Amino acid sequence: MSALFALSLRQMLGGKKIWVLAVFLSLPILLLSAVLLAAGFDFPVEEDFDVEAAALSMFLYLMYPQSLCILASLLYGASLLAGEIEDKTLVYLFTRSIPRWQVLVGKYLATATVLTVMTLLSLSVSFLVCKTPGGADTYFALTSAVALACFTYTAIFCLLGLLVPRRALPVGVIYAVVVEGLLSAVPALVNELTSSFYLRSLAWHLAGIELPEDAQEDFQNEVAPFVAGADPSTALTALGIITVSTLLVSAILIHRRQWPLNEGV
Amino acid sequence: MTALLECRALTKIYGVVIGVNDLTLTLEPGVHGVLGPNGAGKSTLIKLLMGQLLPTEGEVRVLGETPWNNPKLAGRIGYCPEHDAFWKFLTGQQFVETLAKLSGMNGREAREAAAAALDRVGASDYQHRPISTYSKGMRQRTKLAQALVHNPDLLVLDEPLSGTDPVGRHELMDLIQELGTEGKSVLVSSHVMHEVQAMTRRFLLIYGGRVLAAGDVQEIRRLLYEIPHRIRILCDRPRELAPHLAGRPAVDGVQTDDDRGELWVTTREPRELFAALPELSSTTGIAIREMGSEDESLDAVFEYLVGEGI
Repeated sequence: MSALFALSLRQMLGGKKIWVLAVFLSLPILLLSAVLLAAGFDFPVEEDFDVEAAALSMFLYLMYPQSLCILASLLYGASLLAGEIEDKTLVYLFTRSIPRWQVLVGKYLATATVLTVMTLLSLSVSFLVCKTPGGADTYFALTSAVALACFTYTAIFCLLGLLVPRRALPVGVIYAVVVEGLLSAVPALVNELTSSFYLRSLAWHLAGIELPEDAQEDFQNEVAPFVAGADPSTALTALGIITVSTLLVSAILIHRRQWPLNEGV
Repeated sequence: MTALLECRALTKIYGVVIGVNDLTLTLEPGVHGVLGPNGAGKSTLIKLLMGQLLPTEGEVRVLGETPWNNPKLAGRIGYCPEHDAFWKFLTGQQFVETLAKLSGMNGREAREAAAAALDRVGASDYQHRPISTYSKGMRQRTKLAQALVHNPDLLVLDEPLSGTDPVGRHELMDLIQELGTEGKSVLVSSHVMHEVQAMTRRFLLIYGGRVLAAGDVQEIRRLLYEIPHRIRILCDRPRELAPHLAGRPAVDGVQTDDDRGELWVTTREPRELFAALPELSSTTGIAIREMGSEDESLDAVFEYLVGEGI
């Protein structure tokens, strides 16, 4: 498994897609730097969790766990095995004495790890550019959400890539927009079926945001169902179940599927 | 002794295309050539025995085990695919070592096994260069090294000589023969018949998803006793010699090629014909420079079988 992990790491870091990912991940940094310049470096500072800090934290959340993590996971997760099929190297992995599920898990772990590290690097720079809005709690909440998002979404898109290998990207975009975007914002049972709902809830609770007393009732009625609908343990459990179950289904598919390892009759 | 390969009514259908058609055969351990033109079903058969495909019907067993999703069996087989498939950012040594690790070896074992395998196929000199800089022949040797690295009981080599230079080809042929004498079983697929003939006398002829013939080339010739032989006679006046042959009971047909000074005789009793030719040459005064049957070659057997649409 470690050999497979190392191989996958080298594949990811040596591939062309890594540059696409780097461009995506540099966008929030560039955007925030531009805003910072325009604002004359008048950004909030640590410990003062005011409206500006809240807005910046929300921006970071929307940029990273809610968007870039999904995008990056789609980019890599949906083609977890497609690259090997395209290069005809899957044959080496599936004709060795390692079970297919281990090939999947090894590649998944390597992919999710690289995505997490790269996204966290970008997030950390963005966080510093913003002058650390909300302090350590916010940073911890965001990094946790990023890591969990990368691992969860990579598993989801890996399954999608196996279910609809030739249309994984468009179907993945539709899934991201409709399910993780729109449905996750529907305050009913529907949103509890999405990963975004649990990631948001977890990030909110980990950030430890204390609202003024006069805002608490409005928050409970209007905002809480969107951003804090699940307690941390429920959110973690739900994300774990989503990740493990999608990986399990992927493993079953890989186990049962006949692969186009070679061409011709 | 456990059979190398057992197929019972093995059939693989892709949609409406039949890859392998009701194939039943048993191969004993040893070196075997798998021959057939492109699209004959060689790749499908290899995919089935490598556990990449599931039979639509029938059964396949390799070394006594079912290959589908069988990592334990995969560890006993070394596979050299036809396609030029590599992680090209690796060096040859890293490539072979990685695959040794994926075969269950630890770091030190994998390094040593990779070095030994690369040395054996003659790829040591360039093992530390990235594969992206390799010639086709170098890549073929590296692919062969990864198939050998875990010391498998069976080697499945899909067109292993493709792209190699004449010297390299000769060396690889020797290596494959050597593996056979060491007791390894080898299945070599090729569409170039003389290559396989140089490595083994045992082979499978596949065409249209069916086995046309299996066994030693001489055995097949005996099996095909009824098939007319084509004898090529090189002489100075083929057109004059032709009528003398055409009337003989052993001769089914005669064809001349004046430009090349060739006479082609079709016969079911070549020995009788060969025995009669010296006397004929003497009585007619036609000098016969060369004679021989092309039917002992694999090409002739294959061409006949394909031509008959068996």
